[in-house]
Amino acid sequence: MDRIEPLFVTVESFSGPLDLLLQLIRKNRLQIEDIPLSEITSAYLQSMNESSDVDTESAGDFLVLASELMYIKSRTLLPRPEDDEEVDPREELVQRLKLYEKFQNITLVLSDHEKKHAGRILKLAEDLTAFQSEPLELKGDLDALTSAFADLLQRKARQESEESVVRQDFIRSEPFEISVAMERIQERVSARPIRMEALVLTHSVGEWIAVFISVLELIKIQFLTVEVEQGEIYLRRREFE
Amino acid sequence: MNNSIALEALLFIWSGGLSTEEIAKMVRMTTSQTTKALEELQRKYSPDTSGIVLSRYGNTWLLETNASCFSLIQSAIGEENPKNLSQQAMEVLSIIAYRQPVTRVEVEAIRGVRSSSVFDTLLARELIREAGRKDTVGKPYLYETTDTFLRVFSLSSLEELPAMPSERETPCD
Repeated sequence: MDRIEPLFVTVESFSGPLDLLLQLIRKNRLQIEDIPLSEITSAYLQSMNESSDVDTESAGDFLVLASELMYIKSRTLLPRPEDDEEVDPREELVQRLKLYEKFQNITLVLSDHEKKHAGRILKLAEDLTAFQSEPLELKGDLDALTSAFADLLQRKARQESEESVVRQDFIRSEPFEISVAMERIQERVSARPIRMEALVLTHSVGEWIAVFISVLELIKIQFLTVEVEQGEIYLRRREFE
Repeated sequence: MNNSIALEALLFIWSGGLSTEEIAKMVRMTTSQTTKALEELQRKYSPDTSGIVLSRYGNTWLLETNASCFSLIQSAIGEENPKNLSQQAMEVLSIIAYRQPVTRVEVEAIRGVRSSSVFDTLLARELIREAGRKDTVGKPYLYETTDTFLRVFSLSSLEELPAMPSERETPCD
């Protein structure tokens, strides 16, 4: 048997250890069913040794296969009892290689498919906000709204507790009146969405709650619509024809 | 109003694509009537006769440019080839496509290499999505391909995936 040629390349050029093994097999025109284990193992190890820039994580995967190869090799070298019914230790590896090769082939087919049909371009989505003075249905549902608000409160509470360590003694609790908050919201909110956060002047959780209750109230009387986007609550004035 | 006129307008406005159900709701028809009307409209927007094509990917309908115009558009924009998926990403994607729904570990077992960052890329590009959890130890997430996947590979449904070479020798399944 001729010496099996190793491959000298960086590990990055392989999509994995099985890929490296398959390429070794192909380069040396071998059959998967019939790989000379000893030679392929040393070629595999040599390819690994010669490879530079191996990051530890993917190197681990390459080493796993290397140790598997050596394990199988040692198994084939050991004499086995006559009545041993165990299958050829190479068998599992052969099946894995075959399955992997099959997927590699189908990947090529799909890649071709992708290239052949590339270049169908979509129009960008229209900005429809001008037509949406009265949305058919409320987009941000109640769950999204309450959970966004709960997150906000938690964030604020953390901020407040950090700050209040110093200021606690100087500031008395202020009552926040819903009616005041409602007035402020009605003044500020327009057809353009505005972040709810922008309507709160202090870091006080109490004020947040007052604002939130006002928002709910204003939704109820159909003055406002809300939308929750990426955890942010946006308010917009509801318009009627 | 003529149905096809309404459908054309809707598909033009919601250019990112609409599902059959969304369209049906808007034009107040049943989904089967809608599907039929859309298929009818596909004849008008056919790749043979139109620069804009009405395509169906899974359950998503959309208008897009005719693929044959791409080189023209490309030279007009002066744009290089679009960024294709990496070899790794393509491998993971095809394993998911043919074995879906499938867990990450099952994909990794076939490839023999960890693939979590590739999964993140595919999820971010909306080519795959989570599809519930597998009822085994640890309840791992299952993954499946999306309508975006179908569009990228120009398949109107998963049945159109190129046939795998015979599976009789594979030990899995």
